[in-house]
Amino acid sequence: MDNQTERLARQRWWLTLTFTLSWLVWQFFSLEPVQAWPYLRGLPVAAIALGAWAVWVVIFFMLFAFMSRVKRERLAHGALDDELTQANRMRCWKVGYFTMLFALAAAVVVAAFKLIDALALTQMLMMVAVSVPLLFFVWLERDTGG
Amino acid sequence: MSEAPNSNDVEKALRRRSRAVAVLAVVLMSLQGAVLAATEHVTLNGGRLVDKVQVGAFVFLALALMLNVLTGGRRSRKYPAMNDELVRANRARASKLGYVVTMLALIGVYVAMLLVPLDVYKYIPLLVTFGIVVPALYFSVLERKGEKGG
Repeated sequence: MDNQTERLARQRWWLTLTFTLSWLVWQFFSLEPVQAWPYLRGLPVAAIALGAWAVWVVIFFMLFAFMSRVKRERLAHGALDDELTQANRMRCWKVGYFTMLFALAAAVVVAAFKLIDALALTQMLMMVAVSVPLLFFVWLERDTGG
Repeated sequence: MSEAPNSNDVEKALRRRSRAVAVLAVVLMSLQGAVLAATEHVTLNGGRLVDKVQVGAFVFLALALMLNVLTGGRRSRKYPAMNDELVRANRARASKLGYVVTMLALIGVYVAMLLVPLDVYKYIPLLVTFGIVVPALYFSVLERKGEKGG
């Protein structure tokens, strides 16, 4: 990998990580049961959720800009999407799929005991299903993050 | 000393596996109505033993199908050709499709819940079925295609 590709790979790693974490924080603090938690009383939960959302929006647009930049630079595009990255991506799809199925199975148990409100449960399922494969990708590509 | 597997045996085992996956997927789908009713009974009033057995059988069948697609089954240890590069690629493609369709279904349920109150107990078994049956059938189709092509 040349210097420019390395820089782009590092950028992608940080963007993916920040994107996922900000999304997780935003979703977590906007969950109704979390907002009603007695332990979080005194914390500006709504402000934290709003802040995380703002970060997520910024990163979202930065990701789009990054992707269009990578597409323009064909050589870097090829190096960034090499065989190893493609294999890692495939592993992430697989991990995402099985995590989602196990989360759904856990949700059947949670639903049976009526522990959480239905909307919050669905939101939590989406949080798990989206963040686990992305964080797994970040972990697989940790060498490029530096 | 163990003998090298006969190519006919491998072919037969491959064909049997893709057929078994497809049949299990159809059985899982056909159980849906009964499982929905049983889940509702269990969650509403504890249900009868038969309801619990039905839900348990559904979970067991779903797990069996998922493990078969995931690991290739016990026979792939005997016949390494049942877990070769092509099978692994097919499995990865099926997982990808499974992730995408289940995620889309989940998003659909979430949006629907914002508009109309939905019963959480009803849609989860549906999502599990959808998430397992679609990739299992796709895996079976890919395997059949591979057989015909090879």
